[in-house]
Amino acid sequence: MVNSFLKICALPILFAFGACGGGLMLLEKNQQLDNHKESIKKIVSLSPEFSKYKIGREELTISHSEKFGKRLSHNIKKIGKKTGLEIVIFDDHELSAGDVDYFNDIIRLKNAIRSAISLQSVVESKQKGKFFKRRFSTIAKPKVVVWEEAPVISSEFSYMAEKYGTPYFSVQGVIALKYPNSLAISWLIPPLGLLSEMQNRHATYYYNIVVNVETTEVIYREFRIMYNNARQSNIDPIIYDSFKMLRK
Amino acid sequence: MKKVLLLIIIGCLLLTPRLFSQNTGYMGRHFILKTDLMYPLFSDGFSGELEAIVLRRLSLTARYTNQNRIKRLSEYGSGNYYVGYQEAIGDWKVKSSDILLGFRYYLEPEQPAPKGGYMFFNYGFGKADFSGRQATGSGDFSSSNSITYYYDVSARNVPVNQYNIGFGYQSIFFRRVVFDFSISYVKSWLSVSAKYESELASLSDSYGINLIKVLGFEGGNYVQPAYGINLNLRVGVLIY
Repeated sequence: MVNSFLKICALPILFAFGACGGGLMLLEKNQQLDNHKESIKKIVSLSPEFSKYKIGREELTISHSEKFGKRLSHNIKKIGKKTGLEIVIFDDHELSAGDVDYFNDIIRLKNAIRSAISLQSVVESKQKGKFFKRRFSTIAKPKVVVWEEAPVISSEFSYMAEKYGTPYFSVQGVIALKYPNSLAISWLIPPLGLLSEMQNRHATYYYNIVVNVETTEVIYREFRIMYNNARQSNIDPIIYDSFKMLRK
Repeated sequence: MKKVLLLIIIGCLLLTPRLFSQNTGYMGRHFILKTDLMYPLFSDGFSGELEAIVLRRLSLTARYTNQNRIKRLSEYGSGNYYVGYQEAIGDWKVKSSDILLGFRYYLEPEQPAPKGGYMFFNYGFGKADFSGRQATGSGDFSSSNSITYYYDVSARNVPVNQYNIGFGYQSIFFRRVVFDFSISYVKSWLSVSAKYESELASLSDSYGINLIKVLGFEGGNYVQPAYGINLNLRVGVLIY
């Protein structure tokens, strides 16, 4: 009787544990991108950001780590080279009052992109295919939302295409969250203690937004949530994948 | 066996063009070579695995395992022996070699395989050698004239099969070093000839399962499958 019960239950239990899977990914492209993706060879990255939020039981600590930020910039450049992209980075960690390009161009464009993304709505093209196809197509390639109408920025930035040698500019960043540890008192009830220990205490967000200043449109937007810490070995493959997806 | 290997090679060649166009792997690398630490630690054996990432969230695996185990049975058995009833006793040596083929489905959509949690299925086939002692009786065990005989038995090239289904987590450090932990539900069985059925009936759980035997069998004179839980801890390297 017990044996039969175990035999029946063992597989669903394993499947249930196995289903405790990971993060999320939102990948959106302008429908014009497919015609121009081969021309993307150089991107100017507008000072990538790395922010850490440590959420305590009674306080919230926010830190913009210079060390991690510099490492992120370095890795973006290195990974870009590996994927065949030339990435030019405007690093805001060592700025002086004389950095006119940064204050006149970079900051203004970055703000314009952020405003466009947060304030403007997009029109998505209708997804083709039946439910099953849509649901399981991510085994081979990620689900991509295609925009019919993309967010736009001001045409005043079009001069930057000639000045920096490329019309493509990107805003990238990593936000790392750390949640509080489980209460030691929960171990007084062992199943509760074990469950709280199994919960994720880290969440890492990665975003990458690319604009074409000549067409004044946002051409690519990507947002990923990973329930893991912001280690280099976790972030690097995501950046690599992000650059590859941009040109696929 | 040769036909199966030929089919695997043809399959790999057909999949190669898809390999690099549809998925990015881990920083552009798609092949991992791994070894299982559980085999040298617990069964004086070796296990080598090649994992090929064929789609963004799907990989194929081919594993070779070699095990040398000793199954410790009761030295005297049940003691009730009669004509026609044999029982394996003492220490039995079990030596097996398998090839396991399978696939992995990675659960995390935000990053491409081979990093993160996964579910997997493996089907294994191979050969095993068994050698040990057996006891039998000369008459009715209840009579005072009953005599117990002991003799050595060996069975070679017994076909063995197993399947594993489970889940695991794979981590990658320093861009190339891979750690892979998995737990699986396993069913293993021997395909023995009638000659060895009774001797090997109590040995089927010593093949394939490395952690807990979930379900056994109640004896009998034919070999029943063994069910259990396998634990695997693999280390490896991303080759290219």
